[in-house]
Amino acid sequence: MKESIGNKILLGFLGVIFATIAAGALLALLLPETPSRDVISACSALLLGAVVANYLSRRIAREVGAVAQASRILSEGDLTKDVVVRSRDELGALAISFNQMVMSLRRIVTEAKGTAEKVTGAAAGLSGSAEQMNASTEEIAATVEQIAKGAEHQAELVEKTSKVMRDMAAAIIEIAGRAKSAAEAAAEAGYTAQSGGRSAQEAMAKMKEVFSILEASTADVKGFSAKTQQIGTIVEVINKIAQQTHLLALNASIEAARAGEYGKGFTVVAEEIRKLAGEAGASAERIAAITKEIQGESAKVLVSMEGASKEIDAGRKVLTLTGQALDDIVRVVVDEVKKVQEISLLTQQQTKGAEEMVKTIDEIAKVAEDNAASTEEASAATMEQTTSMEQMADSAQQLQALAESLKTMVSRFKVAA
Amino acid sequence: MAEASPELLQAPSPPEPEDLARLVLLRAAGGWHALELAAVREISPIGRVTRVPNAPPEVRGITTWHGKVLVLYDLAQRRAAPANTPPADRFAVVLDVTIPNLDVALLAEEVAEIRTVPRSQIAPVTTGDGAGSRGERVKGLTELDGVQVGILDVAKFFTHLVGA
Repeated sequence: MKESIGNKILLGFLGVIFATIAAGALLALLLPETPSRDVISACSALLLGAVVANYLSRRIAREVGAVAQASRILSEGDLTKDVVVRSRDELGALAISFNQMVMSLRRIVTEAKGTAEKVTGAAAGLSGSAEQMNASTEEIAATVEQIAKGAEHQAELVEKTSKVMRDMAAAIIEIAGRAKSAAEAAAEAGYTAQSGGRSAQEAMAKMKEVFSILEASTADVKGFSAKTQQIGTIVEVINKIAQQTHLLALNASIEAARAGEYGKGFTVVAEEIRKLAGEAGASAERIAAITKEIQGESAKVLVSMEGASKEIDAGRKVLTLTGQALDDIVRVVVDEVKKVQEISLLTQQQTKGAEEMVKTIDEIAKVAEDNAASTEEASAATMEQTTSMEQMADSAQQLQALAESLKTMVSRFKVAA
Repeated sequence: MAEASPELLQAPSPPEPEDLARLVLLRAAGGWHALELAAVREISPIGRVTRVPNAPPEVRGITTWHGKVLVLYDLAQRRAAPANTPPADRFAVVLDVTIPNLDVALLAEEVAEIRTVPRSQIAPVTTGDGAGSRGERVKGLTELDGVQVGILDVAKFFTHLVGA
């Protein structure tokens, strides 16, 4: 039969019963049948049963007490004691299990002690590292914040720069437009200057021809004036002839009248001659007046022509200088046109460069904004990281404290003799 | 002469009526005067003039005329008016006045023409000695082209010269 407490209790119960029965029977045999024999038998049977029961209960209590004492020692942290196994029943199994538990606890506590030692060291290191990391993170956070501010400032500056660059690009485009207009106007001016220069050269050539014609005209006017003076002289002669003819006609009329009837015909002739002389004289006077006017006008024209001749000489010199000046102007204008066209070309290239620069600046602004945003995010993350590091440092400290506490707690367990 | 005027081809003029006067119209001393054509012998330009000492003031001087001495009578001097034209630029109207060994001429700035005027249009001068308002010896007045012209009386004109 398997050894167990139940069997033992059952055997004890049966032993008590058997002892009771046996004691009663034995007493009944031994003792006379008296009224008190039954009582005595019953009491003897109860006493025997009580003794057996006491024996059995003491065995059980002794083993349970051993386990209880071991548990009490265990509860005091002494894991060095094992329970002596005296039976192979449940209490023995309990003692064995208890010993195994103690062994496991000893191993666990040993490992826990080592772990606590390690955790304490690690927690201390972690705490130190966390503090250092916290400090570093705070420095990083401060640096990142500065970087964020710098990035924000940089973004603002880039925005301002972008605006300035846009304005400058707009100004460059405006300048390019104006330079283009100036180049077109300059080209037109150059063409006009060249055309004007040719026209001026032609005009100067024509003016030189006019000057030559005026000089020839001056000579002609001088000749004409001389001729008019000759006409005046001739007219004076004619006038004198007319006067003399008039006088002769008058005298002829007088003579004819003095001749009486014979002179009447001659009187008519003389009168006609006198009239013709008068008309000739009047015509000569008109011619003289006209000639005088012509001479006056000729003199004026001559004076004007002589003045004009002097002016022509001066004008020819001025024309020569003007021609040279026009050539210089045309040359300068053509040079300026080339320069303006080069400027226009350069401004167009500058416009393209400015547009590319604006695009680049926009991209830089966008990158700067992204950088600012990223830096903000990094700053926020760093702040969060700082918070986390602080929390981690706190946790590390708590862990260290817990490890210390664990160590203290574990140190209560005695695992070696 | 290639062509003759129509007047030259006409028949001789008809006899002059008795009541017509032929006058030599001249300008002297700044005014227009007339002389009977019969009183004029010639109109001559004036050469060198020689002043005559102690001569009457109206005698401007003497010159030669066809080899003879010609006395130049100046109406301007007679009228005490300044002669603004030198004698050399004037004409000598040689008068048909009989003065022994002396021919007389009237200085004229201009001798215009010979005009024929009806004597009926010549008004007689009513003053006592025939002197006009300007002091000339005038024997009649007529109007030529709207201008009143005195007809000089040559005979009376030089009477005092002859007397002198």
